[in-house]
Amino acid sequence: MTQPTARLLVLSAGLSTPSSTRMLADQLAASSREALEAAGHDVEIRTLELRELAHDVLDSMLSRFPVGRMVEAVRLLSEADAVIAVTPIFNTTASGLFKTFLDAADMHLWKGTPVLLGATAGTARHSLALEYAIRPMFVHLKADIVPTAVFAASADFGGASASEGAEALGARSRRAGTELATMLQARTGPTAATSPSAADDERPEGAQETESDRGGPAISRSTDLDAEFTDFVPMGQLLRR
Amino acid sequence: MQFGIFTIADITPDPTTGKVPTEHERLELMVEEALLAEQVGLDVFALGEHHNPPFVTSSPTTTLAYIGAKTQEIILSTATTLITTNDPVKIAEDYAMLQHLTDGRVDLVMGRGNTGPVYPWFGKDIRTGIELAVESYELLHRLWREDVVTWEGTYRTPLQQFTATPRPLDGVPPFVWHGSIRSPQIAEQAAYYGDGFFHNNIFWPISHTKQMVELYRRRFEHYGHGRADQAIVGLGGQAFMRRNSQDAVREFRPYFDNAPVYGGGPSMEDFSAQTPLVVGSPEQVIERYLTMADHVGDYQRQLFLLDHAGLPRKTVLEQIELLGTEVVPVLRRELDARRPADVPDAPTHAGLVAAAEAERGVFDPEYRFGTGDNWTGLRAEDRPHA
Repeated sequence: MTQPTARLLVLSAGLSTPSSTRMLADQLAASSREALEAAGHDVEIRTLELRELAHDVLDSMLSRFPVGRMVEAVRLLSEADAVIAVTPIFNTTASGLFKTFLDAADMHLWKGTPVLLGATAGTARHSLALEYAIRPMFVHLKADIVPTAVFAASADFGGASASEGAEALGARSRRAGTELATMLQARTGPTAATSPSAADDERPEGAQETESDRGGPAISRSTDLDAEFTDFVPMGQLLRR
Repeated sequence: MQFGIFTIADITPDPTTGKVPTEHERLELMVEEALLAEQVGLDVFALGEHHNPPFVTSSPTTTLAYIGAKTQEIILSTATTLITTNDPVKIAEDYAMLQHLTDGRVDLVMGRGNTGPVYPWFGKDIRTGIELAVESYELLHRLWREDVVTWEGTYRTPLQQFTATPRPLDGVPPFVWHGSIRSPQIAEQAAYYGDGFFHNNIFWPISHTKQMVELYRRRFEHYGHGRADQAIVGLGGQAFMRRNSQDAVREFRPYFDNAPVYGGGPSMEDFSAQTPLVVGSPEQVIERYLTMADHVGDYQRQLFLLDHAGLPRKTVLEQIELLGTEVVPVLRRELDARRPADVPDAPTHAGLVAAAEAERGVFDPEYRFGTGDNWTGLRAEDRPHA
């Protein structure tokens, strides 16, 4: 039995070419691909360099809806089965570009999405920024965050030797990739987007019965409305509170 | 279909001259806009509600009553009425008063407000914003439909044997639309009551508006008020016009680039491509606004924001004139023609009264309440035996 194709979106907030942030992103993607293919999935990977969208990211934040190349980025995000998001650490936290991207994209896009986090910096001094500053952002976004977040200092890219006694980068990357694959394997149905149940609806007396009364769900789990437009509580429930 | 203008009564510097209107001048202009709107054949004038600078519309029913006294036909509406920080009893009273004074030329759009500090200024907690809006509107809905109300809730002190005065004109409350930009909860609320749904539409891509309206229509049908295509939908819009489109672009650009809402983001061209803002000739406005119904279905009301971003008085009045004389006649003709006969026209007091009569018979306006004691409000039968 073949498994469904896993669509991975890789976001890199690196600014240089070549970029160590991009290198880490590629490594995490490769580890994830390896683990997913071992489990029988085909894997489609799409990588976005946020630098290339930078102006549109900012414009999208100012206009409060996606513009320019952000439109495509949002589409990719909504279609992705999992996301690998990697940022350089600037001044104790994720880069402004990375944060602006998160601020400019609708929060609903991340809900229930498996996310593998990565970060880079010159030294390991700020390696815990992933745990203190970046992971909380994705908790707030209600993403399914892979337990292992991977930090790479410049030194980590050289050879197999660990820095400061930590596990080597390759091993950490493989661990994270395996966790991501396990998380994707475990998903059996649609993500937990809130959706009203028919039983909770009230209707005014004398209202006509509609098609939807006769056995079907009150609101179809329609695929043509984006998640943010189906996130509401039926009035019957709200009025009883 | 109904067409009109709305204003949020912002006081914005004119970026080309640096001039800032005084509050008095801004109020005078608002009134002038309404009078001119009626003169050029527009159907609706709507006014926002704000309780902080740089706005000057803290008492909308006062302003609308004044305008009502100086007009004959135009419908007075809101953009929007705060259903969160206003006492629903006061809303019931104020708008029923306005309804009587204008012979029914009133409806209103419920909004939750976009200014955080307004909640604590009026003793409310923004964290309970949705519950507050739901409870407040439920009370307002009852106050207009039940002569005597006994009510207990969470966000307001209880009411015992309360009658909101005056009772709605002809027994029919002002029509209510629920206004929303981002929240599907409001579409759900509008659909539940069979009220109208008004989407501001400006500042957003039509793909957003389309989905929100679609949700409202589906839930409207779900709650048994009619078919989805028979729901009552209104849209906002925005335009800046000159006969020659290049003149419009040139003239409006500094206003766009410096406006608090737009400035610093996407260019005017990019923004116009993605939102309902049209900067150009009246023909271009017509062309764009004829397409809205393709996205949201046949709808009942289209309002335009014309006085935004610091435009000077003379320019604003010219915009209203162009809208009324060149744009709306064409939109009205074309959009009324495409609407099927069994999709309702925009709500009017007369139409609502006729519908109520068909259902309940003619309303008896005879005064039904004992006057009781002037000091305590008790009726004769409530007084202890003398």
